[in-house]
Amino acid sequence: MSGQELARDYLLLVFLTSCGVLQVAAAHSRLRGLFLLRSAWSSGVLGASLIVVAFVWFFVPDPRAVSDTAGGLNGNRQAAYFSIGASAALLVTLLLSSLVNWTLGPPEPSARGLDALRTTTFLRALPVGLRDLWRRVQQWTQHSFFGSTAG
Amino acid sequence: MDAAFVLWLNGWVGRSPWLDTIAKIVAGDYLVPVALSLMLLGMWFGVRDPRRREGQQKAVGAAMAGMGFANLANLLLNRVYFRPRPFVHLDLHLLFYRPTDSSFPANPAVVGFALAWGIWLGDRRLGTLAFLLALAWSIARIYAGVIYPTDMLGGAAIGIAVTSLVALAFRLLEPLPTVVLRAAQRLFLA
Repeated sequence: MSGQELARDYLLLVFLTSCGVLQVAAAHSRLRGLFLLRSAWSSGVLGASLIVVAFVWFFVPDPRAVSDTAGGLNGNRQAAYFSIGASAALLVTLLLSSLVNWTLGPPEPSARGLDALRTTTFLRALPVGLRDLWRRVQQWTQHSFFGSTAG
Repeated sequence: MDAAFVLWLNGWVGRSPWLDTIAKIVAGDYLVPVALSLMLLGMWFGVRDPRRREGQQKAVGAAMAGMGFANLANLLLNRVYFRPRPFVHLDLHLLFYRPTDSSFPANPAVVGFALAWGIWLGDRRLGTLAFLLALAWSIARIYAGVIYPTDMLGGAAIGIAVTSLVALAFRLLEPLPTVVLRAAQRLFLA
């Protein structure tokens, strides 16, 4: 197996298992806006299956014991590929779950952080979050550079 | 003592093909680090209680930074001290490729225990599982004939010590970690 093939397979392993972990975590936390299937149970089962299938696919035909001097991945490359694979899994999960659950309503005003994704999707919540963040940055710069105008 | 333990454990190689295959996979460079990193991902998203979640997410940050700094410490230590691998001096049945870097401290122990300690700081139950995985990774390497038990102990001590220091630094850097988490919360990512 060439180094490129191993790197490609490793990226795919990380991507699939990360998608799986995100589904299991979403099912456990009841983050409905992150489900890829309709219910917590089916999303959890999908996640667990993805993890098991990806690990079996990666390791069972070949234990992949390759030195990094002979095409294996050294620690730094593994860390970089893991970051890329897990980020891609998060992005795909956020986009797909937003499409699958597009019927969910807008975010509740009181909901903060991940908890908002119990009743809405990421793409519905994001504009609200960005507006809020932008307002806070403006307030902070106003306060830091021009002094408080409150009174 | 160190060599005697490696010889005893490695003496089991070849008696059970199943055990050898499992040891090859566990001792490898990919299974345990991926599993531990996935635990961190799960810790970030998988907590129902918002008050507990923030603590766990800070522990995830400490574990990741701890692993990075522990690796750096390992790299620096390898420049000043080199210990030959057990297969250089002992007659062993190798189950693994022949690493050329120093046997002490064991890289898997440094990385595995740095991550496991960070996970344990956030979630005791998951942390215990992480410690078992880190331990299995190191023991599989001893079984495979590529490290000594003291390499594992040294690596574990470095990993745990560095992650503890990073966790302490996170506390001293407050409110910066909280501000970063709050920004991520506003984007519904934490």
